[in-house]
Amino acid sequence: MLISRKTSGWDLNNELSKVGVRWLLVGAVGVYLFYRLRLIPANATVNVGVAGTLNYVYIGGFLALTALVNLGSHVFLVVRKRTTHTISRKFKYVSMAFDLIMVTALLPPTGGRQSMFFLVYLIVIVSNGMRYGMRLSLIALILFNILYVGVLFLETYPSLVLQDFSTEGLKILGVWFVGIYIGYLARRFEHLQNEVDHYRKMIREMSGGKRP
Amino acid sequence: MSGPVENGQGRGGSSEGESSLRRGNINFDVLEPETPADERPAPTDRSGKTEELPSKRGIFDTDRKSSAIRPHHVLLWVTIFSVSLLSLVAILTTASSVIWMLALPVVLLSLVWSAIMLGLYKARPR
Repeated sequence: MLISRKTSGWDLNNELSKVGVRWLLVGAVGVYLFYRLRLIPANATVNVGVAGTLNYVYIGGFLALTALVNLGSHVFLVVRKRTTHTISRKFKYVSMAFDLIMVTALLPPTGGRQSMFFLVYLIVIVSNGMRYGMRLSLIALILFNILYVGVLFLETYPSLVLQDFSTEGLKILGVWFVGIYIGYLARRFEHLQNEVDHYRKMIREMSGGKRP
Repeated sequence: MSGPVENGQGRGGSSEGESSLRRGNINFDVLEPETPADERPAPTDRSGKTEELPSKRGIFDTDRKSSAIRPHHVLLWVTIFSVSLLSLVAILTTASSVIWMLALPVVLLSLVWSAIMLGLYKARPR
């Protein structure tokens, strides 16, 4: 029998595991960012990333918002797991969009386009692509592209001129390549999974004397 | 997807059971349908992710009627692919404004889509 995603709670289990990973990242990133803030001398001018973002207000607000939304998501998913065992198919799109927005918000205070947290985009895109397939991969890539351009926009405003445009373009291209390849692998896996399920059903029916 | 035993519409009378397994399990019947679309029952579930997959396209099935690939379709895909590739190279090598980055999703999606269509066409069974 083919597995129905909705009735098996596939999406729900995936989202619960993502919530756990989010808690881990909030903790790790929070510790790192506050450590960075303590290293900055008082009244020092910070020339990292977008000006005016590496401060307690921005970092505290970012972490508080992430923790709040994650907590709400966690509670919602736990309740759903105990009651209906399913969630709306739209939920994964919303959670993926939230993850990408949070990663984008993390870039300005940590170096902007030179931030090491750019790699977290890949983690989000790969994990969502592997779980949910090509469609979500493509949506994630488009959203990533737009959000990252927003970061570049903030860094280069008002001139909007990038000295290393081709480098940034190749970075974006690299992420696209990874996302599309992951989406392709996920789609192929799903197709093979359906083939296996179909053959199992066929064998079961044939061994029972019934033709499919 | 109808199983190999059921797929009695395999091409050229070849082993029907193997028609759905050729070339990496990708079903190419969508490119050269053997039965007119009118004679095939319309699938009721657009997602294709149901227990019963009524047509030979399996999980790739849609409600659209199929038609053979015409030469002008291939020419269109080649054109889109070429234009997308040239646009991508031009943007990466000559642009300097951040706004041009917003063109990358459009260019990349058209490049990937046209490449997939050309790849499927080239890899079709003869």
